[in-house]
Amino acid sequence: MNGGRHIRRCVAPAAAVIATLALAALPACRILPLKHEQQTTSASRSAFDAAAFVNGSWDQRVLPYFQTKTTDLRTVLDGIAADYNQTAARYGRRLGDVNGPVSFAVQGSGTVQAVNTESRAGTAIVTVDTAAGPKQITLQIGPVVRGNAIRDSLPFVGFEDFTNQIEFAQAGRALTDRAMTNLKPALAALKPGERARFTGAMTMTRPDDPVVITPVLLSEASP
Amino acid sequence: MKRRTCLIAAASLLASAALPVVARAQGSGKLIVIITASLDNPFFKVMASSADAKAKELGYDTLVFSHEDDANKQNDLIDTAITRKAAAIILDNAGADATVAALQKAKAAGIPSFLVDREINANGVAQAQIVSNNYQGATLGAEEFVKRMKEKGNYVELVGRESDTNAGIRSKGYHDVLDQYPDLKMVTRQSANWSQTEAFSKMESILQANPNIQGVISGNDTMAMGAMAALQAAKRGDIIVVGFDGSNDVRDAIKAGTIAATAMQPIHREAQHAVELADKYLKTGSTGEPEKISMDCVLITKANADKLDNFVLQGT
Repeated sequence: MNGGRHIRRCVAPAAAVIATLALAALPACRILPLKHEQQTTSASRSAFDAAAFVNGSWDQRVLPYFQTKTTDLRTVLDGIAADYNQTAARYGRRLGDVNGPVSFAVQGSGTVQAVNTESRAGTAIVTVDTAAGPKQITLQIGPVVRGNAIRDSLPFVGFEDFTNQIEFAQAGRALTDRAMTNLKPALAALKPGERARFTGAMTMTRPDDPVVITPVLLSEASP
Repeated sequence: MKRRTCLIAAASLLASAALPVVARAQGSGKLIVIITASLDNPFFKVMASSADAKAKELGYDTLVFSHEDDANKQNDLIDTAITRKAAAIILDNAGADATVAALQKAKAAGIPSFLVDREINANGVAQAQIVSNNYQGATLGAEEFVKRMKEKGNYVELVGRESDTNAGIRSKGYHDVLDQYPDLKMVTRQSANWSQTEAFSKMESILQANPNIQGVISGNDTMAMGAMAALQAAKRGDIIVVGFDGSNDVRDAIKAGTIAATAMQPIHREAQHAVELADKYLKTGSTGEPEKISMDCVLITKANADKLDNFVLQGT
């Protein structure tokens, strides 16, 4: 099938013999099986190592960012209630175009209302204070974690830094996995009625989206 | 088929009059060539018409072609764009690796390329790559699938055409979510090549071999439509179906309850933005944005299906 294709491809232009046509059409008649071309190009690309990516950035850049560059969750929530786009521009990081999702690196504290582990996408419901009164937010506690909020809140990890969206996704997943692995004991210790202090990331597409935080740091808070 | 491809290319070179799907000359002199996959699929049809409309609005002449997911035909069409001295090429490409050389050729001829939907495995060749985040969209669809399946049961995966990068990306996105649920079991995984009719016949035989299934996760909407029709014909409307793309057909099926969800690619916006960036680049020498721009997909369920029309979700 493939071999025949290349031969037949050349018949029609060859029949229409004029100088310009021959010149312009020649590249189209290069007899190089596509599969071969794809393989050589793919093989020359080095495979992306997500583990190395996280090992090389977690302690040096990711943790310091979450330790020093986060915004108070209350500031973000009050800001979103007042002016979503302005708050996104000031504290968040937007992906894609003007309607794209916005990710925030935040820290805050609140009272654990419930811990849900019946779904593998486990959650803790936490009540936090806002200008409009108490608000329930969700902490993702795993083992399944949705989205790539950690990756997308980091200004030094961009889609353009990766060869393709698979590598971009692998980097995001590896960052989330590292956070969840580090936090395993702290997440298991979350209990309803206790106060928790958390640092993490959240992604929103619309101002009325639920607040779902992927934690990076977590500790008990004094009441 | 291949012979015809060559004849079309030859004709266009000889007479400088290609046989485009849509061609209207408005006499501004600057030409934007728009190349997408099959216009039989509403996804690519909207992509082409959105880019075409934006280009005309900005005063360009346009030529709209389909490469039918054939990298050789794409190569011929890019040659045509070069011969026609296009000002810019808007392309949904026919292969992440196979496209690189063709675009390098265009670049060498001074024609910038602006990619939509699918990315290529090279940076610095296209002026912009506005990429649908298929991986993210697939995780959204898979998460909804998991929810509707109540995290357990047997399911079937229908995969797109293996040569299409996005078939693999979506499948990976699906499995990165689904494989985290040990009670979800994939009974079979088959390619239906993006085709509705192929998905229909595949689904019929899958159902005969595996009657005990609770879900079908499909790499695109046309295959989801085919699977859904087979399930309806077999009176198995209980089976959860999830698609990908956000076509109006699947929107209507979601509203009717025969399909559970799909991930909508903002292709109207992507196509328009590609033309806006081309225009900006041609006027100022820079798009003012990074080469690669990722556009997230949006989950469509019964909750928001009535706001969806031609890949635009109202109110967002």
